Amino acid sequence: MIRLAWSRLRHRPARGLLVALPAAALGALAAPAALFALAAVLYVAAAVLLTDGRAELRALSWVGWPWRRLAGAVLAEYAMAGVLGAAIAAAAALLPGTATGALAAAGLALAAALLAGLARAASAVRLIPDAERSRPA
Amino acid sequence: MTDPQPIPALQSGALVSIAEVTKTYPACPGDSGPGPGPSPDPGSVGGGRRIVAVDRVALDLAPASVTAVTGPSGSGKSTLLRLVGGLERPDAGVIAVDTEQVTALPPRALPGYRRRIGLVFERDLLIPDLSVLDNVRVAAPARTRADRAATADLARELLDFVGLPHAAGARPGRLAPADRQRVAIARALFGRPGLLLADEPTGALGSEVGGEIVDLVVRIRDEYGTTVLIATHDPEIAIRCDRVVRLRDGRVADDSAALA
Repeated sequence: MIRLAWSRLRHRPARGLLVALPAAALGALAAPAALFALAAVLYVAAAVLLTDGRAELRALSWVGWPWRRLAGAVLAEYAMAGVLGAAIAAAAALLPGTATGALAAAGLALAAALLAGLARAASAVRLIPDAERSRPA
Repeated sequence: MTDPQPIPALQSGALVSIAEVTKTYPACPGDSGPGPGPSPDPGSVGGGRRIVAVDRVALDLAPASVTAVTGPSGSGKSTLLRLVGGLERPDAGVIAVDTEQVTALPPRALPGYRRRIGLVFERDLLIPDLSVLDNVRVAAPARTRADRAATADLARELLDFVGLPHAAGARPGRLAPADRQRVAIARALFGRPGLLLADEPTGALGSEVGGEIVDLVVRIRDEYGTTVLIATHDPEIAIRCDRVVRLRDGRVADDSAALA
């Protein structure tokens, strides 16, 4: 599960950067609170758009991964992306005058990633085979 | 997040019993053509029409045998394999693999069942971001370092068996389609299954490499004593199997075992 999540992030660094950059950029700029909200929206949108793996999850389900393991893999991947995004945003705190905004953006990045991960993990139930959604006749 | 129940592998060729199995699907709106065995469903509410995909199919598969299920597109081949594989539930009938009644398994037991059997599909369904070795062992929970070492050893052994001993570290995308299907077969063999289900395993390959995949399937039967059920529309593949069952409109039209 962790191996799968890490492999997906590791072998697609552009995806990791893209989900991290909105938070980082807005963190560096931010003073108005509205920008933080925008950062969160962008972050979630990027995470959702760039980490689609429905075919892979369906294949794993067919070879015997139970739903909770699928959901765990999704959540692990989003959590890792969130930590990456938070780290990049937090690094912006080193720039002059950006400490407050950058740290807030880092927290926001992590929270948004985890929320998106929870939503995606819950939706993984739609990928399990029909037989697992019904009781024996 | 991990599956707490260790799954014992089937140790020898499984005895498969398919008894009067029927599977229907709701007809698509506007579907008025004959289709693969359409019929009104007397049990449906409001007179909704249903397509009969598998119609009272009864088959017993001998252990360590290779059976081909053939028939035209829409005849019910893939549906039958999906039912035996625990991916779908029949509307009626019983499927048993050895002493296990698949059709009576509760939902949470089905992933474990699928890890005990082997499943191969027309598309290899490998995970592109995992190495070939990790793809082969992807279905096995490995919680400790010893588990991971053991699963890696078994995965290497299976890659050797399918003729890809040097591909362990490669990404699936770097392999030829036939080799990716070999990796998918190695993944299916990971649980030392007594039953291997292969749905058009050569459908996406040329005839020559398709023949090599069939050679591999026959070798699995010979060396592991695995019972194999293959859905195929290719007569060249069917002729190499121990038994050929032809489906038409979801029913068994011919069975070479009955002719023998």
